Amino acid sequence: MSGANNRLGLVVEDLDETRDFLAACLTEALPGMSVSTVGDLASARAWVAERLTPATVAVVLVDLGLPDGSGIDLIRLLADRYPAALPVVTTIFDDDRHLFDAIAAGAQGYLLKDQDAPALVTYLRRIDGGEQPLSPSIARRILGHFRRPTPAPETALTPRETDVLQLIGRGLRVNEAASILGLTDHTVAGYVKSIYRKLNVSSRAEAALEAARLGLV
Amino acid sequence: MSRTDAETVVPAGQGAAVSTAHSPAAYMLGVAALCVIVLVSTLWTALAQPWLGITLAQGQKGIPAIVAVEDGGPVAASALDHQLLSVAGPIGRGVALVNDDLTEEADFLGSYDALRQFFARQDQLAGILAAGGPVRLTLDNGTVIEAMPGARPLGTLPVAFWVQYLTGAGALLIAGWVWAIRPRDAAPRIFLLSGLCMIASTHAAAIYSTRELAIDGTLFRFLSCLNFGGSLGFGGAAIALFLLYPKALVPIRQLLWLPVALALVMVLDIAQVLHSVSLVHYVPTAFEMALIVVLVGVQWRVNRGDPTARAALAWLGLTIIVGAGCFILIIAAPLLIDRQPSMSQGHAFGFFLAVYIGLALGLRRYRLFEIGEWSFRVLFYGGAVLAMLLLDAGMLYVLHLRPEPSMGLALIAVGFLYLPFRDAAWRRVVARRRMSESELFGAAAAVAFTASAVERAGRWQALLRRLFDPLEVVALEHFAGPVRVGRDGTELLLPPTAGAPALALRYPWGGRALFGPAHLDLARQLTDLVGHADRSRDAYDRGAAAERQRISRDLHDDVGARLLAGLHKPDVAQVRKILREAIADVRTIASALAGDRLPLATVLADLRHETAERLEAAGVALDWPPAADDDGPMLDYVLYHNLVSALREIFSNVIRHAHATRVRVALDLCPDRLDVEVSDDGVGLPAGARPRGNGLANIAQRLREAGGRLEFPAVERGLAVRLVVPLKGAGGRA
Repeated sequence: MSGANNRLGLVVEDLDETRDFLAACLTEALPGMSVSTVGDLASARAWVAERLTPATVAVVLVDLGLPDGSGIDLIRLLADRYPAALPVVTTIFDDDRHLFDAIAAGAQGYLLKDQDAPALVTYLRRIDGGEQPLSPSIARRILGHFRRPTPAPETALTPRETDVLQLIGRGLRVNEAASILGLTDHTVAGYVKSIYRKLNVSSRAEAALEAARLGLV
Repeated sequence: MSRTDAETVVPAGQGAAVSTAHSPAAYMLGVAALCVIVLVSTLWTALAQPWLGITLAQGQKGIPAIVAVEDGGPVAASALDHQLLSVAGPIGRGVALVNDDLTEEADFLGSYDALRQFFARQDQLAGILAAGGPVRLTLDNGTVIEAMPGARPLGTLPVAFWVQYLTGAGALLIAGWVWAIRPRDAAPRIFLLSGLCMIASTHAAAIYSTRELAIDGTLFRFLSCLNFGGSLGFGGAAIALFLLYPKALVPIRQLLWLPVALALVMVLDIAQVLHSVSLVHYVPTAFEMALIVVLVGVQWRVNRGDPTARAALAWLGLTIIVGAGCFILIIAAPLLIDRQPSMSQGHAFGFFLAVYIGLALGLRRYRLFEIGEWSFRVLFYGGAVLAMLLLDAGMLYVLHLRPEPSMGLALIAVGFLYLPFRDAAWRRVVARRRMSESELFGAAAAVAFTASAVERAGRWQALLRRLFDPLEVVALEHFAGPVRVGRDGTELLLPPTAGAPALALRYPWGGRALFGPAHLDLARQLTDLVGHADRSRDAYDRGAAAERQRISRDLHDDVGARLLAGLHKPDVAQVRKILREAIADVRTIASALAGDRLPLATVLADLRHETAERLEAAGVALDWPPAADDDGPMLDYVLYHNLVSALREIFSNVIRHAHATRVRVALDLCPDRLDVEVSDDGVGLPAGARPRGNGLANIAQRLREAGGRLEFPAVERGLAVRLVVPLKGAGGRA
């Protein structure tokens, strides 16, 4: 896919064994990548400040519950300032609320840490290939989000995107949804990607609006 | 007749009994008003006497001497230090003055004969002074000064006047205050009587004892009588008080003998049967004093088992005995042995003010007359009203003194300065504060939604205080409602609410008003509202507790059992598998925290997605037609947890043991039942080997818990498992 040789990888995870496990999975999934590991948010920020430029291509696996804060802050930082970086949430529970927040903050995918190494490697490669995961519960939550009037009309979902979310929300997988809608898997994956983006943009717009309302801006 | 009937409880929606009762503050207002009336009339009478602007003192040879002359007064300054021989009108003969004309107290003169002469001379002198024309004063050097008597200025009233004036007012105010708080009890009523006697006695004396030379004999006789009756009555009231308080020594009817006895003394005095005034005036007084001392001693003995009563008695008894005793020793005792008192009677009256102030101070500490701390607010209120009225009177007096041209200016000052100030002061001290409806609603909601029971109870009481501003809030032990008004509208009874005990609110709005039907309605609605919210929150709390219990049981039974099993597996791969299953269990349990009930479609969608990924990873194809758009019935946590766990276990078995290439899931949703059939094309069960292992036994157990069953339909190839789950417990559609 990409020139893996000049890419950077970072695993942000507070549990030592899991950190090593994830680093191994990342190395295996995207060979040739130089993978670093850190155990808390502060070190992660330091690493980002030191090693990344807006143009640096990087994959960052972020645990949400870190000892010194929420991984969501790091995801937001990466999404805001380092567009070439690929933030991916790693989590133990696919708690749809936290995952939704992480995606809204700019995460490009998520991984369940209790899966075995081959499964993790597969999903990592898919995310890297632009095929983002979407579980039924998160799909339902995103649908709920866009059902409300959005402050940024240009981020409203298209009817096709809504169809995809509805099918996935009912438990279908991307390929199944594609065959029902008469589309290719690739097209549906593209819809998922644009849903991720729109969720991120619209939640930023909402945050800005909220800040303006509170007089912070 | 039951106790409740005797308490005159106002039934719901009926406020008729309210009109017969009054709040403490209403009584206090009456007392303050009476006080103002007396204060104004006394002052007016004192100032209305003709005035020469001279101060007379006992002089040599029995003739009064002029010891001071007011600057700019009717009499020329040259009269100073001369003796005043006589006072005469423009025509006719004058009246020769004697030292006795100056006596402070008529009964100091000793005999009724002297008294009659004295009053006759006062009559003559007052007649000359008040005739309207100039008077002629003959001095000891033979000169005759003409003077035109004028109105007495306020500033010329001596200290003795003000001491008596304030003593009377203070006595009435304090006694009236005690009575306003306990208007139905005998002791406070008697105490009020003592205050009335005291103000009658002191104000009468204030007028005549500080006269310049003479006042009208009839007025003097009346005031003198008032003074004597007042002092006698004060002693009688004190005797009655100690006959009743702290313990009743005689039946209350027997107290009627007291006024009868005192009336006899008065008749004796007015009829002037005996020779000696001192005897008639001071012997009964001394006797009263002695009786008071004896009664205090008797009460002390009677109350030996009751330290609280003794403490109250000690304070009350000592204050009265010391105060009244000092007065009698200084004024009455010398007179009885034919000597003049060493101190002015006017000043000595100050001892009585000390008595009343001492009682006011002791009320709280010793709970005299069962009066609570809150009652000071009533006194404060009475004082504030009194001050306000006196301020008004003072303002009128000042305006009255002003010369005509500055009248306009004065009116402007009154309009722009005095009236706004007075209004603000009134609103701050006296006026009632009201709560708006939105405020009320917010406060009620705040009570219901406060987290801890103690805080809720506190907020409830705070809300009631803000709403009704009662002087007293008492927790009741045995009152379960409904809300009602009691004690002639002075009390509102509320059942236990918001974690607070049943409460009696007494004397609403600082004791200035009574509870009426509207307040009863408000309190009832408020109690219902908060009570309802309370019960709802309790139900919610119980539900939450049940859910927590369920979750803890599931964590223990499911996750704990799995982890324990993992602990004993030798193979790392097996341990990992068990750990993953435990994590999946935790996921299901945690998802229950998001909501008690989930739509069937949601439960199946999540399970389908999870299963598809697992089977895909295991290389097994899934044939599971997606559900319709419909959400389906709502499933309770117990049901969906067991259903999901059972199906998960079945798919695990397929992946592990079946060597299948395809799994088919078929759902059949009936109104009261859900059938799920999972079939595979694998190796099936070895003959006679079912159920196999712990897995299927577990599944069967889970379904039994959910009220369902596990079936194994016959198939040609592989294995089919059917789960039958009843949905009757599941409610309506989402």
